[in-house]
Amino acid sequence: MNHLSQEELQDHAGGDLPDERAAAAADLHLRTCAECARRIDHFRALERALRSMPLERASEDLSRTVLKRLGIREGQSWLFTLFMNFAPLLALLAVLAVVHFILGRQPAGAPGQNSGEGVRTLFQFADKYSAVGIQSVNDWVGKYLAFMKGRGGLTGFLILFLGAIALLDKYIVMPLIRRRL
Amino acid sequence: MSLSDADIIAQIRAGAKPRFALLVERYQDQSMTLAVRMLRNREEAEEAVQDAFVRAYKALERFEGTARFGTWLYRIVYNVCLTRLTRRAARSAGRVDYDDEQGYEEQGGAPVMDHAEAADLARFIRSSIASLPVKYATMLSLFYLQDLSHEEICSVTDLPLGTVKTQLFRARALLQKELLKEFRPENTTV
Repeated sequence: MNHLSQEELQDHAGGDLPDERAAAAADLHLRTCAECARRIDHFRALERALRSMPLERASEDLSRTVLKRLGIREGQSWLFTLFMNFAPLLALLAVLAVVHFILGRQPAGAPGQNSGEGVRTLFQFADKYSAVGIQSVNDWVGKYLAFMKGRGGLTGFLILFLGAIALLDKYIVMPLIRRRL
Repeated sequence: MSLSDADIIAQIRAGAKPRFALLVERYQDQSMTLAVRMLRNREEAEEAVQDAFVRAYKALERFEGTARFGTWLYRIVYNVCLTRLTRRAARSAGRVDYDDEQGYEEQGGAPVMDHAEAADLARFIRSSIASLPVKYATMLSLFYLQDLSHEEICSVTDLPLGTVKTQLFRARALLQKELLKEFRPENTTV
């Protein structure tokens, strides 16, 4: 009787025989040959043991180390994320505050100085039209958003407004920019 | 529902760079296993895996998605380890560990084990694999632990299909021989 070769035994144990005919022939032989049946059992045991071998565990901070080496910042704190989302608005407010502070420092009566006069005229112009703007916004709010009247209402409005900007920035503007990049 | 590798890669390409950590966490143990099998030194394997992930990130734009991400990554891990083995060989008077054709027996056969250890088949196989020539241990790792097909192993190692199959066959035959030596009925350790 010709026994199965070691290669055939290995392939059969691993379910890797070339075709169904070869598998059927090997099965038939294994039913009648105790020696090959015993040998294939050994290969099956080896196959099972190899497939159930545990993996080596990498260190827990591997991903952090890799990101650090790549210079990638990991997930930021909510405070930092909030700051980053409000950064453009905060910068704009800071510029406006500085401009307002400089204009507000101009002395009320300094007609002799040309530059001071020019700034004062600009300030008066801005003041006049911003007053008109503020009035119309005030009227509009009074008509449609009456609940925002008063100090508490204004705070609520600002929170809602800034929150809306933050959400718009995070979920619409920035993803669009990233997609373009 | 967990994101697929392709989804994560798309997010990284769209600018969400920290998402690369998800891929590292998903493949770090598999990569570590391959590196340990090849380098046989945990510290060096850890460094090699780090290097491989850094390289993979930098080459991510070139990943076309025609193969599985895992296969592509293991190829990088494999090459990084191979480079380290070559350097190691150059340092130790030209001995190339990976292609070392010295067989199991020439290295002293199965590792010496106490009875309790011998009773643990998995542990025995693990230590036996550690004594196999590196190329055989690598083949076994790629096939059984990284769960790659013969064709995928060819693309990782750049070896022809016949060589891959032959090396796997020899690796299993060597292990089987050691198993029979250790666990045959007349052996009192079973």
